Parts: sequence; structure tokens; C-alpha cells
Amino acid sequence: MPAFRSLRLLPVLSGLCGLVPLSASGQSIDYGTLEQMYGEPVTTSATGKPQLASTVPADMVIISQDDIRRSGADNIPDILQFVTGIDVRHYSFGDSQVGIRGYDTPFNPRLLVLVDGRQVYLDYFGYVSWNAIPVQLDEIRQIEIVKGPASALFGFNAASGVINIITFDPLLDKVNTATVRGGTQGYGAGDAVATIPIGRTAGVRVSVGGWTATGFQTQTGGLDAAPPRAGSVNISARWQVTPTIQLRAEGGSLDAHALTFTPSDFALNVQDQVNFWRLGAAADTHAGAFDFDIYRNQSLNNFGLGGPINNTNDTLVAKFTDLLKLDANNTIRLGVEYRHQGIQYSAENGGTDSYDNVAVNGMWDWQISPAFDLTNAVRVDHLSLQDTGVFVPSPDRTRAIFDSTTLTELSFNSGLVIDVSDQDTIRISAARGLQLPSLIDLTAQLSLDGISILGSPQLQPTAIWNAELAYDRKLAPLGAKLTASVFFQRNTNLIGPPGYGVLSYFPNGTPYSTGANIGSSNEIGFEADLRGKTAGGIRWNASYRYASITDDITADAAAIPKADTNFAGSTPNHTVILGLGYTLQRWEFDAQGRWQSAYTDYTTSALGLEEPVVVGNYVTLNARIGYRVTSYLTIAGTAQQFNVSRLLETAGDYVDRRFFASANVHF
Amino acid sequence: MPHAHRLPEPPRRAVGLTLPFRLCLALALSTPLQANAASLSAKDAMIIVKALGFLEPAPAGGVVAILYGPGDASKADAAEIAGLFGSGLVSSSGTVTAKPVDEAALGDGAGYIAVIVAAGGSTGAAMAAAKAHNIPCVTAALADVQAGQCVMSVQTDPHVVITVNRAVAQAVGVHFAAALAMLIHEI
Repeated sequence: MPAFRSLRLLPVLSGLCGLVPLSASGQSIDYGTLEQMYGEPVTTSATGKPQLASTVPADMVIISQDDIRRSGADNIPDILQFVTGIDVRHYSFGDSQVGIRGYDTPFNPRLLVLVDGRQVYLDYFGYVSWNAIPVQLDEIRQIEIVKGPASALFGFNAASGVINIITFDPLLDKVNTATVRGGTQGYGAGDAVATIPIGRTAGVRVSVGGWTATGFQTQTGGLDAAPPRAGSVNISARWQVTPTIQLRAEGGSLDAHALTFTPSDFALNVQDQVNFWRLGAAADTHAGAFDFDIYRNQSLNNFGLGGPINNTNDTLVAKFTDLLKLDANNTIRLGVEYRHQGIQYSAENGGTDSYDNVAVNGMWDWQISPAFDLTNAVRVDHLSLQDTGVFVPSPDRTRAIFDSTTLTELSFNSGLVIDVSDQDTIRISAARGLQLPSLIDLTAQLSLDGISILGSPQLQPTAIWNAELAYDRKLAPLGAKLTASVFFQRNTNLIGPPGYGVLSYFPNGTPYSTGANIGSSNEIGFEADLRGKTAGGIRWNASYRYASITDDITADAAAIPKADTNFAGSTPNHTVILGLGYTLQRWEFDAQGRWQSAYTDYTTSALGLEEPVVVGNYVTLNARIGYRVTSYLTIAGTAQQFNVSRLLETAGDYVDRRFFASANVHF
Repeated sequence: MPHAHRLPEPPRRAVGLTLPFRLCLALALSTPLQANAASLSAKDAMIIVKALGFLEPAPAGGVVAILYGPGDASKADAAEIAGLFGSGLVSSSGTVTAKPVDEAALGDGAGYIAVIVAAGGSTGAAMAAAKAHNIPCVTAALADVQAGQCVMSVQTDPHVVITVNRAVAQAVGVHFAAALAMLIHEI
């Protein structure tokens, strides 16, 4: 079969993934008070039960609101790029992709991202549009990062990890703040967060924000064709109906525009319009802590290109969990979840491609002894496809095959935490995570440039097997903590989306492209992070990450190397991060530096051919100086990538040095 | 029968001093050190008050009885602990103050939202009040909780551990919200 060469197909083709994050409860715990009591953050993102960050059976990093402020960053990816094991690719001013432990691609399908347990991952293409997350930095309590598969808790697509963005509680946290920013690249931004108490038992938080810029210089020397920008509004409410029953409601809307580097390895001006609503209820009873959560995400995604892949998406998720402490040493969590995911293309058949997924899950935490804690979680997902429009058959995609296709998949997470001493903790974990083919991978039936792009219902999810050994040690004399881990990961049934490299032909000679599973890949990795604070008050951190990937890709997929068929080449092997910070009375000084080794990205030439772009090793240095003018007002200046004026980080835009100033009022 | 709460041990010095010098040092320092070293720290008090906010139902603030037994040392410890509360510590459900109470005058504990047993105080008297009003008995002595003589103990060094005797808590009728219950070390 001839190689597939048209660039324009690929945006439609790639993506993976699809479903179901079983969110870690509806945030009905008092994070602030518990953190005050225990002197460290509390999280539910590891097992679904509240746990101290130091005791979770997973490799987890928690970024606090103080960390966010001191980073000086104005967006979440720029905060994440200084976390060990995370790669951030800046493709343009408004388009960044985030990966955990390698396997980085445009439209990374392996990382599940949630806000308070509500997914913002876009199932239809299988990626996260970081520019289109309706949350303001000022309303974030903490960002919880789980490295490694976590599908047994969150479902499909918690493949390489999970990022759960936890916002302040509108009932418990009286956050009232506003920030304005302005700087180079024509950048201007503003946001405001207000919390309105309603009596003693209810509260509403309202947040609004937006930004605009002229963008970075592109590789051809011009600016982004359309100015990147975004604006959003979000409302969140809590009502403590009785001392043990709480109701939640939330809704929001967002409009975002950014030059976006697609899986086809070229950029399009993409517009995302997102609307969502969410309702929830929690009850604390002697039969356990019950939580019911239902939400709906709707998005209109405009990719340009004359409209053939513009689409509207509809995600509906309903789930119910019970968390019960059976006795002093055993806690269980049981859950059921239903999900519907549908997509309508503007230029398709008028019908809807969709799937329904039903999942059951359970978690058992067994405190074997004061020093040994074993957690096991398992989840089974059952998915079925539907197509309500005109069906386009192919030899390997008949209506009968489509209608009879179901997937039943099992995922698990097991973790043993051993408190060797008050200073030392060992974690041993194993997991099977799952990455679903995206809805486009499974169901698409589009025509681009005379070639039919057909999803394949026979695609299998990628299974991610992970084994990990981690060691934490408190270094009291240094006021520091060491975290180190070594892991092995095996990925089977890698997904080659429609157009991954080959064309097939109908009997009449018309070409079409469909997807296939294209092989396997292994990774070994090592991460070490050392951070602390000196007696003199200097904050410091140092970390190193090593990752090595070996691909075993089918010959037809390997014939056209690209990001999602050459993971070995597209993942930097080495990363070093160093940071310093100091607070002097009203002043805050912070700087972070990051070096990563070379990797290969891909772009599409004017002739429509895939071409490798070697991104050499590079250093990024960021710094922030903040000054607290009064107890209400703080001003700050941020310099991003101040060590170099222009940097090639990807096959997309050059990344330019940025300076911006901010003023924040907090009352 | 009331259970006597152990008095706090005097600070230990690991340095190899001569015996006469150590005796002189002990005589010179032991009394003031004991008087200044409450069996609970300010951090302990903060954690206890915050934990009270997770009771179901949570009291909307109130007074904690600091129970002391016979002897000046116990009374002084209770006064030290009450001093940690100042004009009140804030939980998620209200402001909590503390009052030293002679165990002989505690009665059935009416009017208090918890009983903290000072060094030398009687866990028996505290538990009687706890059972009468479904309020927690709190102590710095983990052994008392392990022995089923009190509901809850707090340690903060080297890290925070809240220990609850599950059977005693159930017998007293004390129930913590799930968010905290999942973090508590139950025995």
C-alpha cells in the first residue's frame, strides 16, 4: 500500500483516546483545614480517599497556590514545565502540550486532566487544549500530578498520568482577588475571583478572566495568523444542607483561539468554545461517604480548513461512589459510572457518532501494620459504539462490525507503601492503564482531498503496564526531602490513527485511510528530586529525569516516522531542573532553570511530506520578583526564557523571550 | 476507678556530665522546666480544635474542659493548656475556648464540647463525661488511648498523628466526618 502523504488528513486522523475519568470525588473535603492540621497537602487523586501527600501509593507531586504565585507563570503549562518528569512543548503562544514520562506528541492523548474531578480532556480528538480550561490561576488551591497510569481510579486515558486541578471551596475558602498583567508580545490579561457567602451554610464563587496577545514569531518569520486569546467565566456553588449532606452546582463558558499544532504536524487556527454544567451531592453516613456527580461538557471546535473537521462534542458523565472505612485497618471505595460521548461533524452525514461506556470500580486500602499499607484498585469498562447517520462501509468496516463492536477492558493499580522509618518511605507499585482510541479514531467518516478518512471500530486500546520502585527520604539536617523513583513501562497495542501512514483502496480504486494498532513500545526511566529550605530561608530544588524508550512498530507505520510512531526519538532522554527562591520582608525572588537534551519533532513540508525537525538541547531560565506593597496589593515582574531571545522548542513556532508585569489585589 | 495520667518526664540530656553536676543541674532546672512544659503544645491544641470541627455533628464552638487531678502539677498543666487557647481557637465550625476544671468538680461534663485530660488528670472522670454527652476525651498520652481509657490522642513529632480508639469512640458516640476519619490512625 502506498504511503499516506497528505498533510491535511492527519489532523483528523490522529488522536487517541476517549473516555471516562472516574473523578476523585466531588471535593467535599476541607483541604485547607486538613493541611493546617497535618502540615502537608491532602489529596484524593491517588486512591479516591483523602490521604496525606506523603502517604499515597503513587508517584505524586502537588503544586500549591504559593508555588503558583512564586512561579510567576500566567498559565498552567508554564508552571508544569518545572516539575520533574513532565515535558511541556510550546507550539505557539496559546498552544502548549504537556506529557508525563515521555511519549510526547502534538495533541497528547495519554494525559488525563481534570478540574475538581471534572475532565477537561477532549475525548473526540484525544487531547487537552490547555488554552481552553475555564479556570483562573487565582482560584486554584493546588495542582495534583499523578505520574504513571491511574486508570483504575480515573478510567480510560489516565495512561501516562493524571493532573487534577483543585480549586478553592466556595463554602470554606473566602477567596476574593483580582489580577491584571501586561507585557511583551502585545500581551494583556485580567482576571477576578469573588466568593459570596450565603448565610453560614452556602457559598458561591464567581471567576472571570481573559487574555490576548500578538503571539510568537513563527518559523517563517511572521506572527501567528490570528491573535491568540481566550476568555472564560465560571460559577461554583456549595450548600451544606445539613451537617452531613452537601450539594454542589457549577457551570462555565469559555472561548479560546490559538494557532494549534495538530497531530498532522502542521498548525491550524483553532477555536474552542466550551460550555459545561455540573451537579453533585455528598452525604456522610454510617454506611460510608456517598458522592453523586453528574456533568456535561459541550464544545464547538472550529479547525478551519473549510470546515470538514469542525465538530460539536457532547460528553455526559454520571457517577456514584461510596467510600467506607470498614474497620481500623481497611477502607474500601466502590463506584459505578456511566459516560456518553458524541460527536457531530459540520460536513458529515448529519448523524452522530458516539459511544456509551459503563464502568464499575473498587478500591481496597489495607493498613497491614503501622509500617505497611497496601492499596489495590480495579476497574472494568464496557463500551459500545453507535452511529446514527449515513454509514460509509469499507471492507474492514461494515455496519455489522460497527454495530457489534464492544470493548471490555480491565485496569488496575496496586501500591505498597512501607514506612521504613520516620525518615524513609519506600513505594512499590504496579498498574495497567488504558488509552482508548479517540472517537475520531473509532468512528470518523470524512472526506478530505478526495480521500476518505474512516475510523476503525476494531482498534484496540493501548495497554500501559507500569512497574515502579520509589524512595522518599527526609533530610532533616538539610531541611530537605529526596524523592527518587525508577520505573519500567510497556505499551502494547499502540494506536495508529486513520492516516497514520498507509492508504487502502475501495474496489473502485478510491483511496481511504483507516487506523490500526501498530506495535508496542517499552520505556525505562529514573527520576530524582531534591528540594528544601535552608535555615536562612533560601528555597532550593534540584532534579534529574532520565527516560529511554524502545519502539517496536509495524513496518508500514514505521515507513513514515512521526511523533506517534517514533516515541524513542521524540522523547528527550535527559532533563535537569534547578531552582532558587528567597523571601526578604516584602520581597520575593524566585528563579527556575530547565535543561533538556535533544529530541526529534516532526513537521509537514510544503509538499505534504513528513519531515523531522531536530530540536537541539536547550536551557530555559525563568525568574520572578514580587513586592508586597500592602497587605492587599502585590506587584510582580516575570521574565520567561530570559537567557535567550528566541528558542526552537518544537516544530511549531519559535518561542520568544517574554517579560510581563502583574498587579494583584487580594481582599 | 480513675486512671492516673502520667506526669511528663523531665527533659533528658544526652551529654556525659558528671553525676554531681547533673544532680545540681536537675535541682536547679527541674521545677521551672516542669512548670513551663505543658503536656500539650500549641500545635497539639490547634489540631485538637480543628479535629473538633470534623465531629458529626460538629459543635458550633464552645468550651473545652481541661481536666486536672489532685496536686499542683496537674493543675498547673491544665492552666498551661488552657493558656494555649487564649481567647479562643478557631475550628471550621466555631470558636473554642478552654477552662481548667477540677476532676472532682466536672460532674457529668455538661456544657463542654470535649474533655482534655491534663497530666495527672483522671481519664475515668473524663470518660464518664464523654459518655454522658457524646463528647471526645482527649489526651497527650497515647498509651491511654491504646488502653481504651480515652478516645483520642495527638502527636506532632516527628509528624502529626491523630490516634483514635475506634471501639471507645463508638461506645462514647463520637463520630468524625469521613474526610478526617480517613486520615486518622485508628486502633
